[in-house]
Amino acid sequence: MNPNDLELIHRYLDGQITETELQVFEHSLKDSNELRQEFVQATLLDESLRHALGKVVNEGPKNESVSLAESQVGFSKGAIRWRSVVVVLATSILLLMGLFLLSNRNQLSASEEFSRMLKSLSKGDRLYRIDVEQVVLPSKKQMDKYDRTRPPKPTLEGAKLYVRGLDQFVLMRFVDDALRFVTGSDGQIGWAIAPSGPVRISSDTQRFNRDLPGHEHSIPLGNLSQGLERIQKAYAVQIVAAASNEQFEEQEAMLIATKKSGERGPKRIEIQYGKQSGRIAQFRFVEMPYGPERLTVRLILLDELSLPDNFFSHAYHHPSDQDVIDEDTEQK
Amino acid sequence: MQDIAIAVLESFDRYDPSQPFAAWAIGVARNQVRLYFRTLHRDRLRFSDSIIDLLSEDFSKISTSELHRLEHLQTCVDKLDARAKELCQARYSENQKPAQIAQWLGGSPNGVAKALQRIREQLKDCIQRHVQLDGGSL
Repeated sequence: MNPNDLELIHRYLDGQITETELQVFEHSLKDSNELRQEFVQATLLDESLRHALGKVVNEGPKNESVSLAESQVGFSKGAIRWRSVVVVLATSILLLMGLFLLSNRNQLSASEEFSRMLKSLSKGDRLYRIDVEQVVLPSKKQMDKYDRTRPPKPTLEGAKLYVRGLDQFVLMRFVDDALRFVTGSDGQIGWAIAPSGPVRISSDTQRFNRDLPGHEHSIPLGNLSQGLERIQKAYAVQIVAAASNEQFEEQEAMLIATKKSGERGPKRIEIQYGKQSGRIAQFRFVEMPYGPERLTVRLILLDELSLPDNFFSHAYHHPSDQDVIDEDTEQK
Repeated sequence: MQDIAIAVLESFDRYDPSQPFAAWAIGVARNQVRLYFRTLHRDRLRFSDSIIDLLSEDFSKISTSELHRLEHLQTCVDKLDARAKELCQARYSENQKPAQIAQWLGGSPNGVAKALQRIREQLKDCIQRHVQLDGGSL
């Protein structure tokens, strides 16, 4: 490649290119596929730098919200900012670049896709990592409506979610890289382990899932069949072709569910899944109510595992001599 | 680029199911790429439509693995020396052009432009090294 052409790429990116140089540059771009590739890569890097070193959220109030939220819960601002860049790019380009929505979407029935996902979920155990892409704090008016007697929810950033079947889960949340809160259900008993105090258990398996993404509007990840059913009812669903998943060696599709007017819940839910296997590789909840905040979170499938049989039981996660309070008995 | 995805989603209601979807989606995407090159960076001269069409196609071929490479960018930025970081900050955070940066940080506009070019090349190489360390083939 001509070194002058490379220099023109950079002159263009920095707004330095002259009219004459632009004509030469266009001519070279037209003739050279290699130069265009180089230009695309350089533009991508340039735009990523702009996002990474600029501001995540351009609007004033939202930006302030992110900062406030981060300072409150001790997020790494840089980490969230950078994750947001990659995620925004990935989402955009999945939509733009995959050449997307399958040409005859009517043939793809969303319910068939959901069935395949559910079938896949019934096999084995899965580990998802939760990334918080954006935090928007409520307005003062909204905050006033919120029950302040409830303790603030610990951050979901970097949390790990283990899922077995359709109704068993373990959610591990970390504060300053140390495991602090573990909640879960083995399908029969719901339980919660806080950093201090006794373990709490209940025969209501939904009792402790208030910290699961999506639970507030009946899209709990601790009960995926219920969650997917709710999405079908309350959301307009589109199926999009995504890309190949190198980790799981499979072509994937993306299901984009946009909340219908008058319904409650996250504004949009995206589920990336294997076209053949139905394996859910990613969930993304856009503007999901979470306590008084609205979060945009992504759950990424890290691994498919074979965990010990009792992993989803509370006893697996605390010393045998730790006090256990059965809330069913306590209420009586 | 997020505008592209948003535009595809927001335009979906206007999609006529009797028409091939892919062509429609590419049309929306192309409009957004045009918008990107024409309006996002007003300090840059505009490409002709024929070049933008070519570039839209090239952007459409970016793979997810190429995007994953960018996960190393923050690490590579952190490794830059103080002067390079200062230049990046001025260019990308303050959105200043080389001439303004030169006035602010010293040096000539051409020198600043060259330095920015070297920094981007350095970042590109750094990302490539990280990809190789991860066992990637790109």
